[in-house]
Amino acid sequence: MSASLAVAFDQLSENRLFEGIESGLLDEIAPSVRVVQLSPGDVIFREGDPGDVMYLVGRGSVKISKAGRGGQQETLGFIQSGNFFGEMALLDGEPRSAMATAVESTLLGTVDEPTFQHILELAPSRLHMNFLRSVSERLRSVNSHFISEVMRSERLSLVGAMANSIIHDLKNPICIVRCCSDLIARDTTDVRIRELAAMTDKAADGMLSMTQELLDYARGSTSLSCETVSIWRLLDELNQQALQLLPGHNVQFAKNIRYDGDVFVDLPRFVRVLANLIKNAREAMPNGGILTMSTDLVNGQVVVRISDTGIGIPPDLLPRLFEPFVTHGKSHGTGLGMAIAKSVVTAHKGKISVASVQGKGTTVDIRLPVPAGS
Amino acid sequence: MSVNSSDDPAAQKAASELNNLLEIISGTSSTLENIWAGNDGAQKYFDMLRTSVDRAAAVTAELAEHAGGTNDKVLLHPELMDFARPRKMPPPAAKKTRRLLVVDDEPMALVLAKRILSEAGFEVETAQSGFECLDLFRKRPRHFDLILLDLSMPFMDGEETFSRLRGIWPDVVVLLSTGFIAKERLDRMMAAGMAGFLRKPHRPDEMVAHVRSVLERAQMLRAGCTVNTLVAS
Repeated sequence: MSASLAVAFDQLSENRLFEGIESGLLDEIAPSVRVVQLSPGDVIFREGDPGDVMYLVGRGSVKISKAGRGGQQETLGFIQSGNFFGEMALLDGEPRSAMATAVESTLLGTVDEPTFQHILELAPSRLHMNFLRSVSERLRSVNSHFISEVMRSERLSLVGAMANSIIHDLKNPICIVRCCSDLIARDTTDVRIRELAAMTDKAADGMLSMTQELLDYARGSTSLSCETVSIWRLLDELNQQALQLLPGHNVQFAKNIRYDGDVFVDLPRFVRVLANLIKNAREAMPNGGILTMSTDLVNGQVVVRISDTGIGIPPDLLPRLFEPFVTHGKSHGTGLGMAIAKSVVTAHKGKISVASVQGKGTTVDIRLPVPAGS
Repeated sequence: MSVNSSDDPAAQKAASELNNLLEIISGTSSTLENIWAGNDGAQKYFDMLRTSVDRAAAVTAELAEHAGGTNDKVLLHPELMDFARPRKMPPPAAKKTRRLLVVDDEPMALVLAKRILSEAGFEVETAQSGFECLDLFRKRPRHFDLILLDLSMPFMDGEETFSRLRGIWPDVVVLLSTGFIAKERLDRMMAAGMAGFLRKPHRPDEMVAHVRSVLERAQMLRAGCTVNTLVAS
């Protein structure tokens, strides 16, 4: 063993795995421990890799992370010097369940299975004890992580319940506004007042359905009342709610209606999703551009696409786009739009996806089943 | 007029908009005139109103022609034109109420057209966009005897609506009514099977008469009458 490696192993011998093990035994093991020097960011193993060695951290630290929702890495914890990791794969022979990355300049010792067996034979009671202690520590940490997660979701559901009651109370005044405007419209022959009353009605209806949407979101459920409607009906609703806002923003509207049959949708909710996507598209084109809406029949599915020629979405945001509270390039908005879009489309047994090139534009693709009998 | 400014979209838009408004003013004034019928004091003012509308319409017509618009006021599809209105028509077996669908993005125009055509005995439904028109038509293609269609509507204009309607049912009877249409476009649409054309502004009785005339002729054509059999009768 070279002098530097001997020094390195000195650091490894302080490892918790070897606690209480005689130095004579360690000398016997030392030649089988391979020493590795890592730079910050070096990947030690990835999730799913076959696992045949465990690691002792002699110096530096290692991050353990796992792919979470949307594909980004969520940190599970850090292994500091003097501790070990990667032993689970060695015990159960399963592939790596997480990813390990060097955080800083790190010195590792690798112990392969024969060496591990050898140590077990040499000092069974000590090694088992060290192992058990480490495992129980990790169990405790995972447990507390789990409990705080549960508490967080508990808090969220509390917020949900609160939102529930606020939104429920909000419905009453909105209904009163609606009733009053109906009465005003009935009591007058003035066309203009009737028109204003109709606008009030429409705005109140919009608020009602928005609160319903929030309520649905807070409850985490989406109760749909679907009906069979034609693409034309869908476009007519969109025309009234969203398209009329376009011309003032120097946005051209193009349409390719290649499927003009029926869809089976909860019309107000589905139209709100599309209106929201159109609003996003318009906001992505502050200097104007072309907004294209198309409908097609592809592989027995109705495909509705909304594309813009706008600024696009940064690639790192794309995987998280459908998560709540993710917004891009907006100073306003709840950040719920795309999350609701996904939940509504999924509730329709459909799929939604987004493709975007920065500086070129974005396309949202919604696929719905073709209604039975059409 | 030899001046060619047919590519002046501002003039085209102005002519179209002016004619649409004149149509509403003229329709409203006629409706009011009916309500006030017999009131000599009011009649004088209605006459003034009509004269002004006619003069404004004449000026707008010049503008429209200058911008490349058609100066045809009323057109019938050639196939329908062959049916010169016979002097002695056999009375229809049973007077069936004719069902019309009026399509215009201007709500005021819809209110007026509905009132005028309902008073003339038609059953009238309205649609405020080409989309709504197609939705209604698609559900019951044979329900409507005639579709009175506006040309300039946002996102789905009359021409596209017309071709989509023909795609759903080729025998659909469509009467185009618009404040401005370029000559070539009108020719194209007539060639594509438009039953007739009526330029705005038109008086209520003109509209009713043209709708009736198109309906009668379309019915005869569908019934398999030929020009000869009509002449023979």
